[in-house]
This record gives sequence, C-alpha cells and structure tokens, in this order.
Amino acid sequence: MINLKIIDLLPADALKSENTNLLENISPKILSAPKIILNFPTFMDGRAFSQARRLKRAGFKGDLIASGDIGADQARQYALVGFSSLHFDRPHDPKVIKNNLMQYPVSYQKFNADSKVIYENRLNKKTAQLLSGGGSFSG
Amino acid sequence: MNKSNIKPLAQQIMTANRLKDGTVVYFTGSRWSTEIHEALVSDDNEGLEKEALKNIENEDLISVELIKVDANKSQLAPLTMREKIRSTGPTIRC
Amino acid sequence: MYQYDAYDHNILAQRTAEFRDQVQRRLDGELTEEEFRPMRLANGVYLQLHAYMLRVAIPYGTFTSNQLRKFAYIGREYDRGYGHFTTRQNIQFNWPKLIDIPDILEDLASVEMHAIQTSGNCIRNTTADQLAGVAVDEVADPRPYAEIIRQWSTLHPEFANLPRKFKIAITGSEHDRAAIKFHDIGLEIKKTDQGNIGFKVLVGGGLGRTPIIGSVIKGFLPEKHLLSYLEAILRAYNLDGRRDNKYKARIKILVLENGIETYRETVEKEWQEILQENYTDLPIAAQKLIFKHFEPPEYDHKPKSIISFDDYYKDQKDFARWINNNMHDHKVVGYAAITISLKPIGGIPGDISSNQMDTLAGLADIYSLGEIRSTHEQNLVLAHVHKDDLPALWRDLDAIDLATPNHGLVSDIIACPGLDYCALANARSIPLAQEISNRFDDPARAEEIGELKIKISGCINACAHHHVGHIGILGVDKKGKEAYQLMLGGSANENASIGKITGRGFSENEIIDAIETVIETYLKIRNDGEIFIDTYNRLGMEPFKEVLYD
Ligand code: SF4
Repeated sequence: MINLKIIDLLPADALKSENTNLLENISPKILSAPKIILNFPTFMDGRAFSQARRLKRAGFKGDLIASGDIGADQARQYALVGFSSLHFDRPHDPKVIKNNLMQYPVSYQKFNADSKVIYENRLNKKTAQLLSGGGSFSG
Repeated sequence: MNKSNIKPLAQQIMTANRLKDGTVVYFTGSRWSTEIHEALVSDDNEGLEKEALKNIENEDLISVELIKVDANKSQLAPLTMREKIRSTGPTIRC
Repeated sequence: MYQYDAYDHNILAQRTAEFRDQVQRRLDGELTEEEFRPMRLANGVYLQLHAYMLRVAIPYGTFTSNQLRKFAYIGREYDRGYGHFTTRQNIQFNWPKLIDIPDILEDLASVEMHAIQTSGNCIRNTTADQLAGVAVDEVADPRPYAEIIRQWSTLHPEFANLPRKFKIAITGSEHDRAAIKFHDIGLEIKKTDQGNIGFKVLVGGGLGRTPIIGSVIKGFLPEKHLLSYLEAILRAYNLDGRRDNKYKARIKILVLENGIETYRETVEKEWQEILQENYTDLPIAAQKLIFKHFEPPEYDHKPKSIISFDDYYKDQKDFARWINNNMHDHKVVGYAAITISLKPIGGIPGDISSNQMDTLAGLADIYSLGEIRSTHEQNLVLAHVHKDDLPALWRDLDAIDLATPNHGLVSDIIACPGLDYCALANARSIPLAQEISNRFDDPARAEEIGELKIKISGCINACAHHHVGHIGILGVDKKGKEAYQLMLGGSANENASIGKITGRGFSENEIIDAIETVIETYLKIRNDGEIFIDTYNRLGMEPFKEVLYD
C-alpha cells in the first residue's frame, strides 16, 4: 500500500511552485528544498501531475505536497506521480482516500524503480501464472 | 423612461433531469412531472425558480433550468427546437 | 485478437466496483453533481437531451461475437433494443438509467469490455484501420501497437486531466482508412529498406472549430520507442497546452501557435529525458507477449456453401452489386473482407437493433472466425470470410436488412446524433441523412454517381467530420431555427483536404435540393472515370456555386 500524508495546514517553510512553471530546468535550490507545494487551481487542471513527474525525475527527495482543488477519489493518482502529502481545499472523507489507495495494486504504467507494473509481473515467473489467452480467436 | 423599450416578460417553465434515470421532468408548482402540459407557466422567473428549487432536494434533480414557452397555443410548446425535441423525444424513432 | 489475462480483468473489476461506489455516494447525497460529473464522464456516462448516454470503448474497433451478443443484451435489457456505432469505432447506448450503469459495466467487464476514458479530457480509445491484419496494402498490423497504447493509456494518472480530450489513430497502410491526419496524434507504420519497423508520427490534426491537417513531427520513430515518444508529446502538451479557452485547448492550437519546429524541439528534449529514465518503453519480452495475441489465425475454413461464387455472381444481380461495392481484397487468397453497411436506405446511420446484433454474432461465428470490426464510417466489417461462403452470408445478412450494397456511395452517410439526442447540437443530422438516402435510393443511380462521402454534423464539434466530407453539412442555429451550411471538397484519406463553404446556408427545406443540385452538376461536368472529389479538385467551387445560388 502507498503511503500518503493528509495535512491540514500548508507548512510555512515549503517552497511554492507556480502552476505555470514548466519545471524544465530545475535549480539545485529547488532540488534540495525539504518541501515543495504544487497547486491544482481547479480540479480539471492536471498540470501539477506532470510537474511532479519532472521533479521526481530530477531527483527531488523531499516532501511533495499536492494542494488546491484535489479529490479524495484521486488519492492514488497523486501518489503514483510522486506526491507524498495532500492538502485539501474541499471536505474529504478519509475512508474514501484509504479505499482509493488500496485499489489497483498494480498498474499499466511504471513511474519509478519500485512501481508495481503489470508488464513486469507478466514477465516474472512467479507472477506470470496469472496469464491466459494469446494467439487464438475466441468464439 | 421610454415605455416602448420594455419587452413583455417571456413565459417560462422550469425543467430538469432526474438524477437516478435521466428522465426529463417539469415543475408543476408543487412537484415534478414527466408531462410538459402539467408545467406551471410563469413570467416571474425569480419566483418560479425559487419555488422550484425549494422542491428539488427530495427529488434529486440535475441540469435544472428555465426555458421559454409559447403558452398561447392550445398545447404548451417550448420556443426552441432543442426544447421541443427534449419534451417529445427524438423525431426519428420513439 | 487480444484476450485479457488476470491483470486486465482485475483492473476492470476494481474500476467497476469503484464506480458502483461513486454512483451510490452520489445517490446518497455524499457527492455533489459537480464532484460526480468528472467521475461519470471518466466512465463514459454523459447526460444527453432526454437521458443518460453510455459510450462503450471498442479498442481499435475489433470485437468478438460474444461481445456483440453482450451489446445486444445490454440494448434489450437496459435500453430500447438498439445501439449506435460512432465515428470513433465505439458503441453508445442512448437510454440507460444511472442506477443501472454499474450493472451494465459489470456485464461488459465479463466480456472484457468497458467504458473507461470514452469521455473527458484524457487519452481516448485508439482507433485503427478496420482492415488491420488483412489489408493487402499493409506494411504491418497496427492492432498490437494499438493494444500497447491501450494498456499504457488506461488509467494513466498523469494524463487524466489534460487541457482537452486526446485522440490517437493508427494505420499500417499508406492508403489511409483511419483518418490519421485528423487526430491529435496519427501514426503510420513504416518499414525501412533494412526491414526495420517504425512509425511516421503526425501531431496536431483535428476538426471541430478549427480544422487542421496534422503535421509530421517525426519521420521515423523506431517501434520500440513508441510509448516513450507518445509520453513526451503528452507531457509537453499537458504542461503547456492552453487552458484559458476551451476552443483553443486542443494540441493542434499549441502546435499552431508555437510552430511545429519549436514543438518538435520541446518534445525531443523531453523524450531524451524519458529515454534515460527508461521506465516507459516496454521491454521486448513484454511487447512479444502482446504480439502473440495477434498472430494470424489459421485460414483453413471449409466453406459451408454449396453455391459457387462465380455462378451466383453471374446470376444474382443484387449479390453482384453487394460484392462490387462492399467487398475488400484480403491478404490470403480465397478470402475477403466485407463491409456490413449500417446505412439501410432511409435508416439511421450507425444504428443496429439488438436482434440484428444477435443474428450477426451468429453469422460472424459461422463465417468470420467470430470476429467483427467497427469502422469510423459507422459500418461494420467481417474480415475473414471465405469467398465461397459469400452467397450464403449475403442471403443471411439480407434477411436481417444488413446487406445494403452502398459502401462508399451516396447513401453511406456519416451522421452524428445531432439534435435528436445530443445536448450540444444546433440542428438535427439524422433526418437529413434519411432524406438524402431516400432521395438516392436507386442503387443504379448511386453507382452511376460513384464514390461519394457525405458527412453531417449537428454542430461545430464536428463529430461526423463534416469538414472532410466530399460533401459536408454543418447544422447551425439561425434565430432558433435549424439551418445548414454546405461544404465541398473535403477528404479524410492520405490526400487530406478541408472542405470549403459554398456560400450562405440553407434552410431545412432547401438543403436536400441543394445537395441534389451539387450531385447533378457533378454528373454533367465530370470527365470519364472521375469521382466527385476528382471533379471538384479539377474545377473547384465555381461551377457548383453558380448553380446553387443563381
Ligand atoms: S457534432 Fe455536435 S451535435 Fe453532433 S454529436 Fe457532436 S457535439 Fe453533438
């Protein structure tokens, strides 16, 4: 199961990255920050998902905080792209978050060395017995 | 003030879709009906909206809106083609 | 074709349970409509004019007879006894109740089907050439690549809230039957002289308010890097695509505003980083597992028919007509692919009843390895029919009104649902298609006219691709009345072009006559051997304008 903190207050010492910042070139100052906040100004605005991926790829090891108009039903999504804390604008049900985090223990995409990704399970002798099908037409 | 500039207020009714099944419904003044001819016609938009919204909660409705109608005809008819089709169903099959 | 393993099944089972819970929370009042709306859209549930609509994904337009039987069942059990095939190879149901949809999704999951990402600002179902795997002119079968994209894009957390929807199409042939130049990403499989497989990648094509032909962003992308390159395109778009204006949010505008050169550089830079990270491209072994599902079937079918194809073709005029118009050559000698027209004269384009679906599923089992394809032109295809079975198949199809011999002809019209169903429409499309079809109901006249693509959209969203119809019709709202703009000269294939407006629009009463005028004019001025689009390309708009507005 993925670990994700729910925080009530945004830490004052965290670095805020603007939602329009593409994070193409990431300075050492940003990389070494203990905490970074990425913002979802509206639920429909998914830029911070890609910004999180870029930060993690560049080697950011601190606390990555998703804040703004985020949803409890998307908790796992935030975790997968690299967020470690969530700060909600809206009321949210901890039960929903917990359920969401336990869903889809493996996914089709790989994001880091520890990702549990389906194609690797298919290739692994121990987990491959779950395979079926292949090469035939079903009637 | 020049009186001729004041247009007569349009006749309106309130419509919505039922959350659980999507069915088109109209506000009758006290409840929501699937029959457009039962709709309450009013030129008092605000009053109508207020009254209708009061009756929403236990009905679970979505897409609630006011639409213009022609109430002078013997049959209550929406003014736009969109609302006409919405009230009678697709014109191509039943 | 692809068969799910336990991992694929698991994803669907969880997704269905998740949505069941979300629907319940909505009904219980725990979720507002504003919160619930993106959740239902992510599962293909729209609110249309009269009811909810459920759009079911058909990955790259290939499905089995069992899946078709399930569509028939859903149509009968939860809907009004029919379904509607769309221009993106999907099927949609027009009357499901929200409270039934979790059950419908469970039924679908039992046959490896779902409605994930058939709506919303995410990567939609990848579409493909309907003759994939059997086309004579094919470099390689696009379906395994489409399946690789399907898996990678399914529930991709990073790309769930893009600036706007995102559509990918892929073809393995130079002759483009998948309209790849009008997709956010178009992929054409290429083979080098050394025999290496890769893709020509196009980006930024699309229709809607601003129709644009896609530009080549990469001439040759080696096949093993398909996913990493797609990811680079998507990430650059997700970060930098416009979000201030819905009508400028598609990737085509980003490419247009930055220029393809600049955009290519941005993507290239991002791609190099992804390659270094090396999490995205499938390892060869994993790719092979997917390819195994698409090995060509055994073509050792023993025809059931006792009628000889040649004799029947000579004697039966209607059969011959169907063969001439609806049959396609097949890679394997002795076999053919057949278009099953969902455009009966006077019918509703793309609609099919549950009873027809059930019978057709049986025919697919007998004659075509139990497999069916849907096309972006709203027809179906049986892709593996032995030629000697064609007479029997034709008679069986004719009995359920599915043997209309009009593929590619005047009555093979693409029409969106329009104002009869769609909440966004300005005008109706379907009745127009029906009237045109009735007006040109004589099959001899239709053949005389030759290949003609008519496409009718009920609003500027262009779901029926009207810009790329040889004759395109766009429904507009003129002071509360339905009116129609006429366009000529569009084409969606490898010679892509965008149609031009003839002039002022037409009323509902005038438009059918206007179309007949255009067609009659073409017949008068065409050269031998020309089809409509050739004549238009040779002479342009003038001769048509003259007669339309004199
Ligand atoms: S083109 Fe417009 S009217 Fe037609 S289906 Fe699309 S959105 Fe609806």
